[in-house]
Amino acid sequence: MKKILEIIRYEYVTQVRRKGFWIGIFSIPIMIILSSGISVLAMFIGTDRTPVGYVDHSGVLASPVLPEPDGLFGESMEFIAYTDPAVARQALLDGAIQGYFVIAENYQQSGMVEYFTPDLSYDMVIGDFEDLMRHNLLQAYPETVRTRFEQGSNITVRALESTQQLNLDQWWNLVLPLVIAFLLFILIQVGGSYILQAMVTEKENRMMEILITAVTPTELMVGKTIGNLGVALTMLLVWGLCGGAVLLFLPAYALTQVSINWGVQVIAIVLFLETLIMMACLMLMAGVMATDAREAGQLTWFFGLVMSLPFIVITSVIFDPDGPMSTIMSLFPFTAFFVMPVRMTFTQVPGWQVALSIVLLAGMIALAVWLATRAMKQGMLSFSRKIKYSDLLKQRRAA
Amino acid sequence: MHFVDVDHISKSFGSQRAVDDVSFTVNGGEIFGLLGPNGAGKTTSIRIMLDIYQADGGSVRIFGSPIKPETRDRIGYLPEERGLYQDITLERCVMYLARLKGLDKHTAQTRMDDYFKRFDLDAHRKKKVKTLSKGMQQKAQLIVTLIHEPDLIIIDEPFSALDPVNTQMVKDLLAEQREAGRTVIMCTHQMHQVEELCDRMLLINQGKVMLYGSLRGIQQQFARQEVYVDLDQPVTETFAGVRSVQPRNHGFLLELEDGASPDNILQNLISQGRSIRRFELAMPTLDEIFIQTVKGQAPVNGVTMEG
Repeated sequence: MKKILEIIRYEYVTQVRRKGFWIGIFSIPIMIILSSGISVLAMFIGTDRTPVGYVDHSGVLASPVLPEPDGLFGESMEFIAYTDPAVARQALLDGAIQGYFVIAENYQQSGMVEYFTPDLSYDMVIGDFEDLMRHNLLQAYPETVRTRFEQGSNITVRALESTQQLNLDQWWNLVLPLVIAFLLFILIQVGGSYILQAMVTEKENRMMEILITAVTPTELMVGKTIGNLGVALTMLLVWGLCGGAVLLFLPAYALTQVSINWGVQVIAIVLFLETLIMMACLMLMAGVMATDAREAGQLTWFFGLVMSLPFIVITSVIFDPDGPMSTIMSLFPFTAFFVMPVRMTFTQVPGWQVALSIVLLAGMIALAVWLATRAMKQGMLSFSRKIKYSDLLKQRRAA
Repeated sequence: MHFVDVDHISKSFGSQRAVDDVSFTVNGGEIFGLLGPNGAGKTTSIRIMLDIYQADGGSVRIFGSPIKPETRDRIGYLPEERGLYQDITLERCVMYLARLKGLDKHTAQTRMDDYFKRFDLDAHRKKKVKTLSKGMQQKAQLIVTLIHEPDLIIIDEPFSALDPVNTQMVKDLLAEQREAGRTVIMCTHQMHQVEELCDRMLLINQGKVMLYGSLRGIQQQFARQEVYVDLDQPVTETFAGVRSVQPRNHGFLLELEDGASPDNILQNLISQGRSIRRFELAMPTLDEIFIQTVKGQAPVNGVTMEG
């Protein structure tokens, strides 16, 4: 036990001391924040704030009332009324406006509007114009009616036989499980790669023979696995703390809008930990089988590919969470950690399916441990020859 | 009780018989040479001894019992395929491996400090291993092998790629270990090093035992009917009991006739009134024995002996 603890400590400290670890740990959330920020900034910068003209032949905007600004940055578009399309055109040519709408006389019957602009690209200003028209058409109605019409319904979807519910208006609560699953996916990949690298390093440095005369192969495997899983969990902890820090800066109102289904999160964490252990064993196996990092990559690309499948089918999972593909992928050990929590967010998953996914992953862990042990026996002293998967099976038949 | 008792071990890899019915014992406090050409089965035998490989047949007892996890800490092993962690400091690398050998932090630190001073590595302790010279890394590997003061030291090809200075350092260290009562198994094909250091030896070839016993006993078995003499005057012709005379170095190699003994030749030379500066039995070198045995392929009769 003392030696296992020593290996755990060594593996953990070696990884955590590396600059690359800290760069990696912060670069991923920073990249997410930056990419989101850049998108928003691009939208802000790219939005043309030049006024827009209109020529109203219908009379809807005879006494125009501007709607309350509801954009991301709280600005409202300035609209300038023209009586003559020729004047509006000249204003456009002069650059005084970025475009102008011509509202047909029979607009209330036909809805006909023409928008004149220097090019044919879709313009964000159309949305603002629509808001303006809606707002003014509804002026005759009481404010509550106007508000309800403009903001739409607040629909909550409830499962028939459970307390589960979805508020379609709160899109962030639907996106949150996907974001968490994505972060867990990254953690599993990173944790697995650390273990793979740790084993390859032993072989590349010709340390294996020295180590296994000091510790048993089991002690070595357990120590390396736990040490490197600890590294992955440290990443999770740091990300969790960063997320917590971000929440501190959000207004209290925003926090009340975030609803977390803790039942789903508990299952997600169980499946995540199981997947992490399974991948750790598989990476350890591949690390022992390979003679260098390049070969290790050849042996493990398949695992990464299979684990990425949920990204390809995520739309199908969301729109058909009870379909056969969603069900199979939520039970399949390599994709369960991602698909099952997402399914659970959008549908009432039968308890037996949740239990089965956990059991299947546990079975896969047992298989991975068995394979890793086989690989260890065959490959730990094989410095110049890569062990193939078929070699492991040959040994199984011989055993 | 023998420190190591290897009893009829065999090991095959596919159709290749790597070790074939090998038996030997190693006594406490001796340097034992495990010799053989490349691919003879030396390393495989050692790996079986250390329980890295499972033997197909036979058994191994170390310190009187089959190897157990706690036995590992009493063994220092420097394999032929050896290395160190390249991306960490020398100090951390040695400390980690010492701790894996069961040393507590304080003892490991004290011994490491002593070894670093002795091997002139003190100034390099904070450097990454990959920045050290090959010689320095070899010294560090030796420290890792010995730092836990093992009762049994197994060193595979200890002199490979060493310069003369470091070779002498390793030789001194091995002799020192023997003086401290530790047992050393030295696996090599450098015969002159074995002649200098080993008390007993085992020669294997193609997995089979070819020679086994004390160094002197083996050399005597291969001794030729020849004496080497260095006289005040040259020997120009044969005389009674001498079949042929050949100049050799500063003296002469006298091939004896059948039935003639070195005693008779010595008496004869004295009776001739010659001044004798040197007279000795011409013993074969281990290199010669090695080549003769390996070329002959079959185990040599009469040379397997306990010394």
